[in-house]
Amino acid sequence: MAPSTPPDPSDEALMERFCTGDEAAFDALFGRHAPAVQAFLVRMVRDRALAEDLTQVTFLSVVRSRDRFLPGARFAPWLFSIAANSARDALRQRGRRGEESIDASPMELVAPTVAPSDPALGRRLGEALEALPVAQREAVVMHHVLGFSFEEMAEALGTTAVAVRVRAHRGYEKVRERLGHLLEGER
Amino acid sequence: MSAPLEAARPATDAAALARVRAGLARELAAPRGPTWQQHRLRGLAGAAVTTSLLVIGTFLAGIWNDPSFATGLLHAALPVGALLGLQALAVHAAFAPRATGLQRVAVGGAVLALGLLIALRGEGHPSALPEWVCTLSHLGTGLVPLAVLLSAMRAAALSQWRLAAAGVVSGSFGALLGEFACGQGALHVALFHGGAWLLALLLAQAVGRFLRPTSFAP
Repeated sequence: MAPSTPPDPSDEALMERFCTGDEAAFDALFGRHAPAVQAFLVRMVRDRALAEDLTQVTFLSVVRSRDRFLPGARFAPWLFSIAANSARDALRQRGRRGEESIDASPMELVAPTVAPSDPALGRRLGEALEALPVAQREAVVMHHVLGFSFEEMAEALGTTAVAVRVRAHRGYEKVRERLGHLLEGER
Repeated sequence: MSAPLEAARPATDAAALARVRAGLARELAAPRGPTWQQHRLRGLAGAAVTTSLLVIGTFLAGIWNDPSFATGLLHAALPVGALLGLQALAVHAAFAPRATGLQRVAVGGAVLALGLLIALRGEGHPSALPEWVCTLSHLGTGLVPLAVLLSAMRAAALSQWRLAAAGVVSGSFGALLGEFACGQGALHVALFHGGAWLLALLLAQAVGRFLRPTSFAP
């Protein structure tokens, strides 16, 4: 009989081990969540180089502030609250300097599942998301792109599930208005 | 999840993530900085020392001018006690993780404390100095504690409510000075002492907007 493999430790168990000095636990968390954090930040700031910097800032914050991860809390919402804070700060700095996002290749921002022959979709999706207020953009990206539940988002963003549901709904409706027939399959 | 928006999920840039992970090596190897509990303890100790200096300095100045000053201080026991309690709560709220509820309580507590100071003041007696001197001196008393507090608070994300808690701490030092050193009436306390506290709150928000935290953890 083949030996049963132990289940993967939960994020919270890994975080607890990292807090006691287990660097391998941090590597496991990084491997699990860094791609999603990177995807979130790329969608939020629409600048791949900046998103890389912010991904590093996010995980630096995890390392420096591991003591602020409360026992009993969930890791993913905590991690994404850090990512959201770093994105908002970067967008505020960018707004103060009057800069726009400099990513010249909207198609790079879209998953390989999107047909390369449809550059309009990628560009319009990126533009639609960028046109949203930051709070709605966060909600749409976290829920509709990354699959977070409203309860997880509420925990990450420090608000209520009702508030994030409203933001996600309003943001998604604005995206639908801009994308028009491209989302007809959703109806 | 929405199908077209699923497609909006960016492709993973493995090379970028490898660079990110490599960039974290030095931080992982570095000795750990102070925990939020240590920051809080230092904040409470700093507040206690500053308050003690304030009390001693005002006491000596008061006794020098009026030997019966010490008796008057006893009447300030209740408002001073309330302010010290509020200060401790606000220091804790400024450093504790996920403490938005406590931070709001601290701001509400400041409003209640100000109400208590106004209610207990009565008619008071006029002063030879212009009334705005109180506002200025109260704000000035809280400047150094505010600077020290904001510097330590950079170890986490600077939310509006955390900055408000810092403003409550800063304003409480001015309010303490007002209890020891000002004998004017209730309306003066409401406008000029209350005004100083409001300015401390606004100053904390304004300075906080330009501070770069060293961590974005809540």
